[in-house]
Order: sequence, then C-alpha cells, then structure tokens
Amino acid sequence: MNDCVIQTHSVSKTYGKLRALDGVSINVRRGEIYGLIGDNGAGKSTLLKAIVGHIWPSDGEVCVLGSQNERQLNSSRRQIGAMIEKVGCFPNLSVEKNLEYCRILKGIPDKKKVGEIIELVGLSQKAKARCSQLSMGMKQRLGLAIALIGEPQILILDEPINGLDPSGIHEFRRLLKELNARKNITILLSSHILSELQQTATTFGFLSKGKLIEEIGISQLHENCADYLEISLSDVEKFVAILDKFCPDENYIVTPEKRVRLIAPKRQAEDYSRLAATNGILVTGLEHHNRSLEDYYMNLKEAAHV
Amino acid sequence: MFNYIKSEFYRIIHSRSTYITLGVFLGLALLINIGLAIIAACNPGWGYGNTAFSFQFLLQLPAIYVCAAPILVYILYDDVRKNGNFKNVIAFGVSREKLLLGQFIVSLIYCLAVMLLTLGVYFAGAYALLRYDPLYTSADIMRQMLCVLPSAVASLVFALLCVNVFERGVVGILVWMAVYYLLPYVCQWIGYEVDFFARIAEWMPMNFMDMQGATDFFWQTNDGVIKCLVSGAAGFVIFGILSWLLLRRKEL
Repeated sequence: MNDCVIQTHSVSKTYGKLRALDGVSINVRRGEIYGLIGDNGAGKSTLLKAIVGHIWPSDGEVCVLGSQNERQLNSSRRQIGAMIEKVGCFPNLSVEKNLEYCRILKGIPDKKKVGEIIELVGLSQKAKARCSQLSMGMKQRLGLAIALIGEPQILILDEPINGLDPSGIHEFRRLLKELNARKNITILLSSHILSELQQTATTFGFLSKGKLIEEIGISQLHENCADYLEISLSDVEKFVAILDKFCPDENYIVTPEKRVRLIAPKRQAEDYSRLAATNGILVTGLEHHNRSLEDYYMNLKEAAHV
Repeated sequence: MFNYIKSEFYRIIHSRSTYITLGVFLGLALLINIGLAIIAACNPGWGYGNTAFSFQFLLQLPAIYVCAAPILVYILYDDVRKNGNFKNVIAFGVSREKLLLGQFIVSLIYCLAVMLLTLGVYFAGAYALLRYDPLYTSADIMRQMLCVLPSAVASLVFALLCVNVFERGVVGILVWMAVYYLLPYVCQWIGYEVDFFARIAEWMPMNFMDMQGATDFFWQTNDGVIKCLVSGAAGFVIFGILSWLLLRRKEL
C-alpha cells in the first residue's frame, strides 16, 4: 500500500440526519487514473471535498501522500491540483490574470508557466478574455488550468466534463491521458457518466448512497463486464472436460445453476453447440449476454442495497 | 500565507472594483470641499467657506472610520467567497487560520491605504479651495483618526467574521449593523433601569462617539482616549477569538 498517494480509511460524513459518506475507504495509487462512479448524491463530491480539506470527515481518516495530521495534510495538499464543483475564478479578471493570481499563490517563480498552461488547456484565444465572458466549457478548461498550475502530483477533478461539448470532451480526455502518461500525474476524477470514465480511468470506485460498493481495476472490470455466453447442457462435467481439451484458451465458469458461462467467448455460439453435439451432449439452452458498465453498476447497486 | 497576501494584492491592483471604490471615496472627499467652495463663492458673507468648518465636519463624524471598514471588507471579499475562490486557496493547502490572518492583513493595509488617500485628497481639496482658518487643522483630524483606529480595526475584524460566516452578504451587513448600532442602543436603554448595562453601553464605540459635542471632541479628553483604546482592543480580541472559533472548522 506504500504506493498509495491518496487513501481514505472508513471516512464518514453526516449532515444532520443525512449520512453522505458511510465508512468509505479508497486507495489511489501513484500514476493511476481513479474514476469515482456514482449517481447524483452518492457522495462523490463529499469524498473529494474531504480529501482536499473543504470539509472534515465526521469519522475516519484522510491520508494524502502519507500525511494524516492536519498540519502535514495542508503541506501535502500543495501537491494537489483540484477542481471541485464550481470553478473558482475571479469573474472580472482575465484568464491570464486569474492564472497569474494562482501562480503567485502557489509561489511559482517562473512567470512563463501561465502561458504554458494556457496553451496546454487550449485557452490561448481567450487568454485576455474576462472569466465572466467564458462559456461553461471554457470555464471548465480554466478550472483545469488552475488545478494544473504548479505541476501537481495529483489532480482531483469533480465532474470535469460537465458543460463540455463532444469535441471538448474528446480533447479533455486526451489531455488527461497525456498528463497521466507523460507527467505521471495521478488523477482522481468523479463522474456519473459511466461511459466517459470507462474510457479514461484505470481503477474504479463505485459509490452508492455514501458507501463504496466496489473498488476494481480496469482489467478485472473488463472481465466482469465482458460479453458472455451461457450454455445449459445435459452433461456439464463432460462439456467442461471437452472445453479444457479442445479450447484451452477459453475463460469460463460453471454457475451455481449448473450452466457453463463463457466469458468473452472466442468462438461463435454455433461452434460450442457443434462441439457438444459431436460429443453426445445435448444443448438445452444457449444465451448470449451483453453487459455494459451501466448494467454492471446497476447490478452492484442492487446487490449492495438488498 | 505570504504568497496568499501577495496574490491578494495582485488581485486588488488588477480589479476594477478597487479603482471604482477608491474613485467614490476620493470623489466624495473632493465633492464636500467643492460644495463648500461653490456656496462660499456664491455667498460672499457666508462664514463657513473655510478649512476649519470643513475639518470640523469630519471631526464630528468619528464613526465614519468604523463604518468604512465593513464597506471596504465587503467590497474586497464578498464576491471572492461567492465565486468559490476560498475553496481554491484551501485546496492549495492554506489553512483556515492563515487564510483569516491573511485576509486581516490584506484588508487592514487596503483600508489604511484608502483612508490615507481619501484624507490626503480631502486635505488637499480643503487647503486648495477654501479660505484657511487655523481653528481646526488637518493635524486634528489625524489625531482623531489615530484615536479611533483601534475601534475601526475591531470593526474590520468583525466585518471579516460576518463576510466569512454568512452566505448572503446582506445578512452579514445586517448582523454587523445590529452589533454596532442596535446593540449599543439596546444596552443604553436597558441601562436606564440596570446600571450594569449603562456601564457597558458607555464603552461601546457608537455610544461614546455619539456623545461628543460639536466642538468638545471625546478624543481630546483622557477618558475619551482610554475608552477608544480599551474598547478597540477589547473588540479586536473578542471578534478575533470569535472568528477563530467559528471559522477554523468552517466547511466550504
């Protein structure tokens, strides 16, 4: 766990009778893009706010870059660039001046950094424009620029693609991946748009009603979300033995209902029917399932709250 | 914190509202003397077109410094809080204590600068446009200002507390007015029946500043100076502790 840059240990947060977070423990490792998935009100923003210090957990601990106590946390937070909820900018100052303010605040001596960041997020055309004149998408870019100034080790972005147009989303995604790959910036981002996170994140935390219902890596998620073929047979054991012998590359499980589930099958459904038939096994059912991340999330949620 | 203070001054220097506010203060300072000069020019026998009358006008309004502080604090920080800029500062790792102290230092320097510039323009306007009368001079105003300064600083600290605690600016201003205007009156009224409240009321800035006459100014007496200093220091300590207690764990 030493490579974790952000950890929360059983973090809870209550507002009166509302339990916004309920014992959430996440582990964000250095260099990964961690996607926090959840419905509106699931507790995503609350968790991110607790990490950046906007709120205090009612219970549990937040650990950033190994720091846990308040003084050390404040020091470690200087390595974080954050954009939580509304983009915090001065509406009557230009984009350039807003970033210059942040440069001075972060104590960055190199004045050229402002220009570089403006170019990096694609705001060169709007550098002199006042923030009040920016569109929603442009403000999101400014928010990212503010978060990025000072080359933080960690980026925390709350619903960063809200308000972006399709090409803006594409550009944003490309930028995040580039920052992660080239500068090894660890990114923790939240979204309720699952398809978007699926294309960006390498680790996923599923939040529902303030609880973390699963934390899973991309390869495991792909496995869990992959298409599968479920075959009902007259002799499951025999078919499994044949599968092992003739199709050793197949990944399968036998379900409690005594069906063979082929995960991401590499052959056509007819091929398996034929294989069973030629070995004297009767195929009584054959169903092809497509499971999206949405389906997976919905199933997880259902299972968590039953 | 030093970086926060530097960045705040960068913002202040580059904000239009700074210059508009300063323009309004300087304009009012000039306008009073221009008005007196015009009236004096139109009425040759009028006895008030002189520097002494102009300065006496300010000397009769010591509470102006106490009231100017919250106006300037709200101009500086109300929008900043609404726009979520404090969240950036906290997320950059500045503790709330340092943020508060930084705000206090920035607003104190800003208010002093606005006040000194305004007084400078007021003096220049008076000396340039009005007939000189040595009865009251700019030195009297400076003495009065120095005496009232602790109360003005306490008022500034309380205004910062209000701007940070109350989400809506108007609520904060109403609370400031309630504490600085309503509370002294209430204490005074209760004081007619209960002696303890009468003693408290006479140490409240708006009460002892109101009780001065047109020519006998409270800051010219030992008692007045002591009241100014003690009530200013007490306000500073009380509002400072209150700010620390209420804001060090404030969630954004």
